[in-house]
Amino acid sequence: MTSSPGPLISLRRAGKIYQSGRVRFEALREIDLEVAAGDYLAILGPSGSGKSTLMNIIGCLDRLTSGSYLFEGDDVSGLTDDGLALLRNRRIGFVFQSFNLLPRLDILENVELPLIYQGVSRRERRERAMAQLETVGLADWRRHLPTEISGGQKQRVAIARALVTRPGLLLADEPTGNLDSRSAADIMEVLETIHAAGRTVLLITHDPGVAARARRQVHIIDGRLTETPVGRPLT
Amino acid sequence: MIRDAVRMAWRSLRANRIRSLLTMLGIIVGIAAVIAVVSIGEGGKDAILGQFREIGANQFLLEVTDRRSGDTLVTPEDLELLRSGLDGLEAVSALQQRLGLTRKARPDGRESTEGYAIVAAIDPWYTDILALETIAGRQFTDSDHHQGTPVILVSESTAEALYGTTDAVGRDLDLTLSNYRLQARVVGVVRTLSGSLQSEYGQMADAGMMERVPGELFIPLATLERLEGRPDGYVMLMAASTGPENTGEVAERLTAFLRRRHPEATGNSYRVVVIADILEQVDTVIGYITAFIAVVAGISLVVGGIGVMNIMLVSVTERTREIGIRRAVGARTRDILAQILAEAMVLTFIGGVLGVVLGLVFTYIVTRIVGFSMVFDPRVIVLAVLFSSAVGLFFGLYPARRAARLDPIEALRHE
Ligand SMILES: Nc1ncnc2c1ncn2[C@@H]1O[C@H](COP(=O)(O)OP(=O)(O)OP(=O)(O)O)[C@@H](O)[C@H]1O
Ligand SMILES: [Mg+2]
Repeated sequence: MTSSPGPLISLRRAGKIYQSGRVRFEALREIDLEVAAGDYLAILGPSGSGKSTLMNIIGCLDRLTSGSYLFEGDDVSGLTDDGLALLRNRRIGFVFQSFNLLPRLDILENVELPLIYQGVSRRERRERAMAQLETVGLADWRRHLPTEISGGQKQRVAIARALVTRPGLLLADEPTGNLDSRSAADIMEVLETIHAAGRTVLLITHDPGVAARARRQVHIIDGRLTETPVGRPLT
Repeated sequence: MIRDAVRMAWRSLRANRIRSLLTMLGIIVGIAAVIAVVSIGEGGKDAILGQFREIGANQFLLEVTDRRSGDTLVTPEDLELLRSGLDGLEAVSALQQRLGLTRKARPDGRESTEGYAIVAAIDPWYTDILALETIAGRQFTDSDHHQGTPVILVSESTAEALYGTTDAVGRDLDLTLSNYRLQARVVGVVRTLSGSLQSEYGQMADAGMMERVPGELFIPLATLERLEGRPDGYVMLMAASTGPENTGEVAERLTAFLRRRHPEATGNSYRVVVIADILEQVDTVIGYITAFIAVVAGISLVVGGIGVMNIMLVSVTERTREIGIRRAVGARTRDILAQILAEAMVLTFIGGVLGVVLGLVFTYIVTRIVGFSMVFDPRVIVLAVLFSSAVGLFFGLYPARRAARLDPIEALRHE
């Protein structure tokens, strides 16, 4: 990680309005948020409050309808869809609650996937994906299909996929939501290792215990964001 | 990137093998039809025209079709008069054909039957119209023609069949023509340009009614006439005009001359066949048939293409989430576009290849049954496969654009 002078993520008065037909829904309102490179941030909030919406914005999967979003100091709103795709591909890794592995590809091929869109050669893809699978302890499972492994393993594959491009930012949307407590603890440990290695981690969770392990906690309620000072978790 | 797209396409098609195959069916049938039509059409043309093609544009045949008085509607005197001066007539030759039973002496002294051969009895003018190229030995001489010596020219395939070698000069052949027996000597091996011209005997032989000696045998007309006696008339003339431009005209003049000489001839006693006309007609007919089936094949390809589009739309809908995932990890719209297009094109490409194979197999079977030689143009195959791929490109475009335009978030949420 190069230490950039400004924050990695900078949202100013960010708003997101969903408009479907005549129905207008304000999912995010006036969000101000800065995340420094190397930070570990937990996002909490009730269901439907806008957590995923915020994460999609930060992950360049979606666009704001008002306010501004600077990623690594650059205004993302000026980028084309392909520009955003490039950012997602090179700078950002996603981990989802429902794993989102491709069912017809084996574990190794799933991990390779982002590298295909970087134009990396087949051989190098194989090597890098294998190395990444080893870090999550699943190298021996490389030829298995996602349906043949457990939830905890799937999530570790998803993490390997998110990290294979060596992104600075890892976004995890309720990564433990579909896991039993043991696998969940397991995944949290992996995330902490990733953070310890210098990456910025943003984590959505419902679990205050999980959130407590982050360096910062923010709450979203009805699309508004409030930051909770560390050491004083909400009860 | 393209290699990856093709590889991905191949995998996803393999994952739905049955569906892919069914989708290809329209393409396969369409391409197979095109290949079969073009190949069989070419083979048919070759078979029908082959015997005429090399003869030339200034030749024509005159056939006496009147069964009752046929024997006297072209007399030897007519021929003499024609030769002594009909405007524009280069040469005219009377041709007799007989089916001959060939025998040759076996090494052990006993005779063996070798089968039936078509024997053409030709006069000296024959070679003015159709060249007989000498491979070995000689041609008929003037004295052969005058005295009716028992000499034979054989084509290469005949020599091969009768003697096991094309070097047959000097060999003896025992020939039975109708009721007459001819002990003849092979004086030359020739290459004929015409193939077997009149094949009514050939057809009988080819229909399996008798064992046939391939190729052709020639004897002087005089030799035949020494056996059978001089005929009152001929039923088949071959003629050539001085140039291709006046062939029709000369043929008409010749017929008019014969009609004047034979007032008893009815309207359709004489039938004239101008070789160039046959070529043209056959060409036209085959052209029509080809065009018709090409249209049918085209429709089949369009229908097949629509089938491909339909399946690709289904496939895109089924894989909305996959597309969302790919977008999330960095696939650009054009990557998705390429993936779906590649899939459609790989599908129709394989369909095209299978169609070509099927078409060739079908052509092979048909040509074997009909007896045409199998003619195919490799360019047609390349073109067919390119075209079927283009069908995939065209009909894959809409589904591919639909897939590429999917909103990543909506796609990810899709289940
Ligand atoms: N495409 C959309 N059109 C309209 N409304 C939407 C759309 N996407 C999300 N919303 C609404 O925006 C609100 C926020 O959604 P979001 O998915 O961000 O919530 P969340 O905090 O992640 O909830 P959960 O904890 O259940 O995942 C929800 O009320 C949802 O109904
Ligand atoms: Mg959510």
